[in-house]
Amino acid sequence: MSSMSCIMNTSVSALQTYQAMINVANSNIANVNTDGYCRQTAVVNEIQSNSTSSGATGTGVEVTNVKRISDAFTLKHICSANTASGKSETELNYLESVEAVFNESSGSGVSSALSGFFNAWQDLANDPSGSTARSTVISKAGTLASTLNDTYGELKDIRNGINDDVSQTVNDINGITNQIADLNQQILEAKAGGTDANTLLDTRDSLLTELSSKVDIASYQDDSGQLNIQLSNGKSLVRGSTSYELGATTNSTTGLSDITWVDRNGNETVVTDSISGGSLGGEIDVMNNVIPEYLDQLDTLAATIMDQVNTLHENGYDAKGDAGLAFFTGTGAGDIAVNNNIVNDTDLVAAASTSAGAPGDGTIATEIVALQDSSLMDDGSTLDEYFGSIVSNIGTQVADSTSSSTTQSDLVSFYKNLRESVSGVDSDEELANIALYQNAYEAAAKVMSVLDELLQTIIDM
Amino acid sequence: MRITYKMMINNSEYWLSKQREKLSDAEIVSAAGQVINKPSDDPEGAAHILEYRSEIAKYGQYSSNLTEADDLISAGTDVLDSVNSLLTEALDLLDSSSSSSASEATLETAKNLYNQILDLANTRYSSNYLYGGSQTDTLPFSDEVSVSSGSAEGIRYYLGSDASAVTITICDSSGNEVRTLSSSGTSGSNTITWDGKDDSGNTLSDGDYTFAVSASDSSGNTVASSCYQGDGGKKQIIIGDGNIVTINSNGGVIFSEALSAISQLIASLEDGTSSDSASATTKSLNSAVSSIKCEMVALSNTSSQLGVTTDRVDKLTELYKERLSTVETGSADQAAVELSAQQTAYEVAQAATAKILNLPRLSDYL
Repeated sequence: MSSMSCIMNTSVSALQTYQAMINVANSNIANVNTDGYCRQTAVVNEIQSNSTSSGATGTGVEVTNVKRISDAFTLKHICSANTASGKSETELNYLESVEAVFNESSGSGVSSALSGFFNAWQDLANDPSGSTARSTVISKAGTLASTLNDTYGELKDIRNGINDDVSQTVNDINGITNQIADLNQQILEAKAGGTDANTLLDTRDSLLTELSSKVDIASYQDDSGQLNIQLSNGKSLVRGSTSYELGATTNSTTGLSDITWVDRNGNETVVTDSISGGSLGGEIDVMNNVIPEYLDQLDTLAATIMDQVNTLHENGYDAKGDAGLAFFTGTGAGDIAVNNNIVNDTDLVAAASTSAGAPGDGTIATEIVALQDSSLMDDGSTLDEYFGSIVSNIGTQVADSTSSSTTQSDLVSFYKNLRESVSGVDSDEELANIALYQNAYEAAAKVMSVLDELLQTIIDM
Repeated sequence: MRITYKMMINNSEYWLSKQREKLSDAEIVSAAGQVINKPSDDPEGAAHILEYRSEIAKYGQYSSNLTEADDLISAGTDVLDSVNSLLTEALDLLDSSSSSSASEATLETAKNLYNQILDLANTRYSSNYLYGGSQTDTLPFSDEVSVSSGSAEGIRYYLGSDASAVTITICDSSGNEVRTLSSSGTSGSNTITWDGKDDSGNTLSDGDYTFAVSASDSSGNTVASSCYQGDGGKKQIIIGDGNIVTINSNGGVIFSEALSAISQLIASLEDGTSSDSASATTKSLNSAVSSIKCEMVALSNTSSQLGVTTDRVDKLTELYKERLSTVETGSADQAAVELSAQQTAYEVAQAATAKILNLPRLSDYL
C-alpha cells in the first residue's frame, strides 16, 4: 500500500522535474543565437519503485543530469577545415597584396618602364649626338631602376608586415592555450564537485575551434575529460592544466621571425618548419617561401639588365671618347640605380663603338636596343617575357588561392551547419517541448489537487 | 537531417554573400570597362596584356624611327637632286664655253657652282651634318687649315681611289699660292703633315689658309679628291626587330667626284679649254652625274623599303591594339548581360531570404 505522503512525493517530483525541463528548454531558447552553445536536454529517470503487497508502484521522476548534445566527430572536422581555411584565407589576403604590387592594368610599372628604357636607347641610336636623347636615356633608365626599387621595396614591406602579424598570431595562440588549460582545470574541479560543466565545455570547444584556425594542431580528450593539444611535431601546447607558449624570435640571418616552442624551463626550440596550417602557417608560407621567390625573380631580372647593359656600355665610348663606365650600379632589384656620374654628365652615356670621338656613332646604343628581344634569361625568355611570367605566376597563385580558399570556407560552412544540425537550438522544437512539459506539469498539479481533495475527505471523516 | 531555423538563416546569408560577390565582380568589369583588372582575373591574359603593350610601345618607336628615316631620305634626296642639277649646269657651261676661252663671268659661274655643291654637301639636318659619317658635328667639307705659333695641323683629304700623285696647294687668305705639297695616297681619308712653311722654307705668319687637292693615278687619269673631313660612318636607324636600315652618310664617297669634276672644270676654264681637257672634264662631269644618280636610286630603294616596313608596322600595331583590347576589354555587351544576370540572381537570393524571414513560427500559433 502506498501512503498518502508517498503519492504526494511522487507528484512533487513530477512538478519539480517538469519545472526543471521547462527551465532547460527556456535556457536553450535564450541561447538560440549564442555561438558555440550546445543545446541541452534534461535526462529524466524514473525514481526507483516501491514494492508493495499489490505490486511495484513508481515513486516519481527526477532529472539525473542535464546533457549537452555535442558531436566530437563534427568538431574534429570543423577544426581541420578551419586549419585549412585559416591558412588559405591568410595566404590569399597577403597574395592579393603581392598581386597589387605587380598589377600593371593601369599601364605603369616595370613592364612599361622596360619599354620606355629601350625606346629611349632607340632614340639615342637614331641621334647619338643629341644631348636630348642622352638625357632621355638617363631619365628612362632612372624610371626603370626606381620602378624596380619600388616593386622590390613594396614586396619587402608586405613581408615585414607579415612578420609583425606573426607575432600577433603567436600572442593570440598563447592566449587561447592559456585559457584552455585554465578551463581544463575548472572542468576537472566541476566534475569532481559533481556540478555539470556544460558551459565550460562549450567555451572550451569554441576556443579549440578558434585555435584550429590559427595553427595546425592535434587534440584529444583524456579519460578525465582534459583536452590535450599538440603541434603537428608532437610538442604540447596544452597538457592538462598546463599550457606551453610559442614565441616569435627574430632570426639574425633573415631578420624575420622564427617560431619557437618554449618548454617548462624556458628553453626555446625552433618549430617553424612544423607549422603548416592555420593563419600562422599561411603567414609563414607567404613570408618565407612566396615573397622570397618573387624577390629572387626581381633580383634576377635586375641583375640581368645590369650585367647586359653594363657589359655593352663598358665596351663603348662616351661622347668624350672615353671608355664607357658601368651604366647601372647596385647588386639587385633593391638597389639598382643609374651610375651617378652618368646622371651628372649626359656625355658619359657611351653610344659609340670607337674611341675616335665619333658623335654620330650609335653602334652601342643599337646593340643595347637589341637586348630587348634577346633571350637573356636562363629559361630562354626575354626580359619582357620574364617579367610577364612573374605577373602571370602571381595571377595564377592568387586565382588558385581564391578557389582553394572558397572551397575551404565552404567546407567550414558545411561542417558548421552539420554541427548546428546536431547541437543548434531550434526554438520551434523547444516551444513544442515546453507545451508538452506544461501539459505534464498541469496533469501533475491536477493530481495534487485530487490528493488535496482526498486528504480533505479523510480530515472530514 | 535536423534543420534548425538558424541553419536556414545561415544558408540564406551564405548565398546572399556569394551572389553579392559575383554581382560585385560583374559590376567591376562593367564599370572599369575591362575584363582583366588584376593578374588573377586571367593570369595568362595579364601576361599577354603586358606583351601586347610592350609590342605596341616598340612598334610606336619603330614608327617614329621610320618617320625619321623618311625625313632623312627626303632631305638627302633634295640635296642630291640639287647637286645633280648643278652638275647639269656645269655640263652646259662647258658646252657653251668650249669654243672660245672662258670669260670672267663663266669662271665665276663655275666657282659659284663649286661653292653651291660644297654648301649642299655641308647640309645640316636637325643640328647634325648629313654627310660627315659619324662626325656629325664637324663641318664635313672644309678646306681651311690654320697656322698657329708657326706650326700647322695635319691636312686631311679624301681620295676616291688610290692615287700615285697627290698635289696639295696651299693658299693664303688673299688666294696667293704659298706652298705646294706632293704625296701619294690610298682610297679614303688621308692625312699629310705640313710644317707651316712656304715653298721657300719660310715659316708663314699665323692665320687661316686654304688648301686644294688634286690627284691622279699612275696612268695619269684624274682621281676624285676632296677636302672631306668626316669618316666612313653610316647612319643607321632601327626599323624593326633586328632590322636596321643604313643610309649612306659618307660625304667623301658621295661628293668627291662631283667636287673634283667641278674643280677640273674650273681649272680647264682658267687654262683655256683644250679639246683634250674639255673631253676629260666632260667625262668626269658625266661620271659624277651618274654617281649622284646612283646614290639617288639607292635612296629611293631604301625609301620604298621603308614604305613597305611602315605598312607592316602600322598593321602590326593595329593587330596588337586589337588583341590588347580583346584580352583587356572583352565585350561590353557580354559585360552588360553578365551584370544583369548577376543582378537577377542577387534579387532571387534576397527574395528567398525574405521568404524565410517571414515564415510563420510555432509561437505565432501557441
